[in-house]
Amino acid sequence: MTRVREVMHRGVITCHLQTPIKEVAQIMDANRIRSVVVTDDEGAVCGIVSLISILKAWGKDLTKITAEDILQPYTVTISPESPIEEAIKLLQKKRIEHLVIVSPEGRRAVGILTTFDVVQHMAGMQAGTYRSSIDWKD
Amino acid sequence: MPKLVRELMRRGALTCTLDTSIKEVAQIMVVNRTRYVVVTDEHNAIAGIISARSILKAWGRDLDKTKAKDILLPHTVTTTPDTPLADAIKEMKRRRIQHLVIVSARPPHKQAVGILSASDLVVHMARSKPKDLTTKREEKR
Repeated sequence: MTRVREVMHRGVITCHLQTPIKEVAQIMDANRIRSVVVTDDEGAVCGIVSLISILKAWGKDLTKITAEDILQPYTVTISPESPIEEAIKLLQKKRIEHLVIVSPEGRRAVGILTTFDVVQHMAGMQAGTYRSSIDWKD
Repeated sequence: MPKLVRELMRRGALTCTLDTSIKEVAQIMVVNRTRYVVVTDEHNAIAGIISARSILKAWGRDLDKTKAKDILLPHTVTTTPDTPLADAIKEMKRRRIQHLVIVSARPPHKQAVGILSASDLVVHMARSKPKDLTTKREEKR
């Protein structure tokens, strides 16, 4: 049985509640990621800012709107030890792209699981190995 | 003049056929680092779209035997290159989708000519100066 921890990313990229959206967009651009986990002063997870939530600020002054204004509150939890099927059901049921994996104590983010990670797992590819796993010859 | 879709869309789209296996669709996504593949029929017309999330439907099935036609989302949301960008973004937000397939305003209407993706839009927001994001551009002399 595949478990969440075998597929998830360890570590997450975070911003603070008061980070301006302009900066959140720059974090996404620089790291080539599609979501940033928002934390409070204690480092506890408050929510997640996704691409769609940033688009809500299109046409507005991006330096005045903060992560707190547009974040999707963090409600869905999953443990690294859960079966991956459970995570897939959650991703589908909630129609979300990312699940934050939180440590049981202190609500600290320890990792993230995205739909793309699952697709990569299904493709039978680990990051960086795709060149050898596809037969390019006819 | 409002900003138009053509200014930020990517020309060309990644496609597969109705009979492409899901394993291969997943590989197309990983190799190209995209979250969508447009499914086309024998006339090269859009039959649907497969997103990263829709591939999850095939979890637990035989990925070599499951085909694109089994899981595609048939109601592909499309727009044209000359649509105002603000309207296209409104549509993406309303439907909570990350990709809009761009079709030509002239026949053949059902062929994908490009993609507007949420990630390209956010990159634009990250790199632009404040005035670039207003929907009305300053008239240049």
